[in-house]
Amino acid sequence: MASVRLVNVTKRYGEIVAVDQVNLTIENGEFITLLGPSGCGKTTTLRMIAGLVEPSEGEIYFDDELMNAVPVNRRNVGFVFQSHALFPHMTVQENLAFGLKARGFPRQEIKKRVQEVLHLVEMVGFEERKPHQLSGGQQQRISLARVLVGDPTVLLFDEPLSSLDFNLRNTLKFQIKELQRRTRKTAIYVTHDQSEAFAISDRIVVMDRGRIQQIGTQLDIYLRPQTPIVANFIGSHNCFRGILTEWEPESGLGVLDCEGLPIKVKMSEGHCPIATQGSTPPRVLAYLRPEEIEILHHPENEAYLNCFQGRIQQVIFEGSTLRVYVEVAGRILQAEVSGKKRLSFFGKEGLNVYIGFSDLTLVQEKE
Amino acid sequence: MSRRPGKFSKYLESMVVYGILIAASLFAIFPIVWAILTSLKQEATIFLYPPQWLPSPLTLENYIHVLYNSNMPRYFLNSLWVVFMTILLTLTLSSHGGYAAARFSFTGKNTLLFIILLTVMIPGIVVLIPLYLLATRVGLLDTYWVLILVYTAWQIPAVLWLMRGFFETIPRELEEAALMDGCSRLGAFYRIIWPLTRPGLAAAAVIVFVNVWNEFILAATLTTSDDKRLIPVGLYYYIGAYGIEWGKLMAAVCIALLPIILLFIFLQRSFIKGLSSGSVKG
Repeated sequence: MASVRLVNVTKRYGEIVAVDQVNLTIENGEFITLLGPSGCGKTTTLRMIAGLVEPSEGEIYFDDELMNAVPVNRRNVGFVFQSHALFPHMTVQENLAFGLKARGFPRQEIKKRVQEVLHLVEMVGFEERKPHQLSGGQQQRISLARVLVGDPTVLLFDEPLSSLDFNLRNTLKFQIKELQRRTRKTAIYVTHDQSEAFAISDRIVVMDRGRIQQIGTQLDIYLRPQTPIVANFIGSHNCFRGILTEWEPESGLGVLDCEGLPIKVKMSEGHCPIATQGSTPPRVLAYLRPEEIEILHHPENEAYLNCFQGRIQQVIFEGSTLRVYVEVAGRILQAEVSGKKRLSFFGKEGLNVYIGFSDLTLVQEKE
Repeated sequence: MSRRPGKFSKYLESMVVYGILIAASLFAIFPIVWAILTSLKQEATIFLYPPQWLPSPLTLENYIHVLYNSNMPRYFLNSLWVVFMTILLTLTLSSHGGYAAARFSFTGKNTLLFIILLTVMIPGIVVLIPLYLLATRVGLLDTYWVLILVYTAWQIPAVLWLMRGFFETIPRELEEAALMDGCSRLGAFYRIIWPLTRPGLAAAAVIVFVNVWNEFILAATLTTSDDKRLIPVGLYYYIGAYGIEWGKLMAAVCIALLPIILLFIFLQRSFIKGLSSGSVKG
């Protein structure tokens, strides 16, 4: 096990800055996910930790040891590739034994370790198969096993489940987490799939355009985004852009003027601070999650901070949830209804309703 | 009613395609078949008119002469040795060069590769005299090594480009995985990448074999003694001052063709796979 520390790590490809001044500490035994859209620099960051890419600037430490000059085959990291990268001309046994042979382990020790790790990933009996004789999920488990057999100090995962189907992804992500928990290894996971990141991470690092936007737990990232980029990327939302015209610091209550639509907001502890002391009222982005909107047949002003009349424009049945698009004061808002209640709105396009909501996330817009 | 015209036109289309393929195959195979049949005829019956398609009487006297009363077996072994060494050297050097071209970035890479490819455009006859003089100066004239070195230099450019294309189809993740496992760069190349290039190497081996086996001008110029002679030059000596011994010549040709035919039979799958894989990226 080892902690991993990145200090001002930057990677440039000519004029393009793929990773820009990343500072990050991953504690011993922690499972951290680098989350972001394609091209945000998360894979480049991972590959720099692995030693496959050399940083243009900055230092990478495993515990207190500087790793910049350490070649990739000396870093003792385990890397699980998106494409599994199993050696196609070798059997499962040979794939798992390869690294140990390369490091000069004795034959008996290799045999013992291979069997142990096959037990760990529940793939005993597959020793003589070649990779093309395995399913996608089996290949991924063997690629995990290959990484674990060498007892690495750090585990690195580069979107390992992206090529698998939905059900298999759901099963395997928890298996990966469970394996990490049992082996207590430091793990850094790269994905663009938010549900995957939320399900298995101790902490999440949201990246965009080579920079870290926010580091936090799942709740921090989802409920208290610190920047518009994080708020826009994480989950679906309705966004109101307006000016904070009224503000009571004691109660935290305020009113956001969104082009004529007054929305009551409440700032609570831990939310991104809004600079309210200046001479001009701050411009604020307010994010409203679809699941925070309640669709009502009658107005309930006491129950909700905001209650507006609207009209259902479109209803989309998504199985466990119903996505309802409601027109309110010229805006289309997206709401999510789950449970038995969703059946009462199914097929009800054109119905006049009320929407109630209280919790919005506020992010100050940069000038 | 409407189905029948569709079915008939598909049938007609197949007939035309097969007809063309059969005609082309016959056109290609006819000279070889004629050579085999001629090699089994007595000299007196070769030029009978009307032509005697099948040998009658069938005789092996031409083969007996070629194998026991001529130097063709020696020429055959010489060619085998020269081809084998050329293939070995060419594949070794070209696979390493192709790997470097596929995987590494360095200043002047594209220019260097272009220059290497440019040498393929130079006709052999242009460099014949300089090569002869050079071989004489360094004392390599009339040796196996002069042929091996010249043929290797001749084949490397095309094979290097073929192998480069092939290496580019192999995912980089495989080497990266090997490096992660503690392997050195060279170890990753020899233990992971090299075994995966078998189809490419087979294709390259076939190409080099055919080119070198059939090469005449360099073999005739750079070797002077009978014991260093290669098969194509040996065949030429059946064209005498007083005529051509067709039966013996055809028997020698058939013996010369045998390795190539066997090579294609055993390596055809790898050959096709190697060529098509390389062509995707190369």
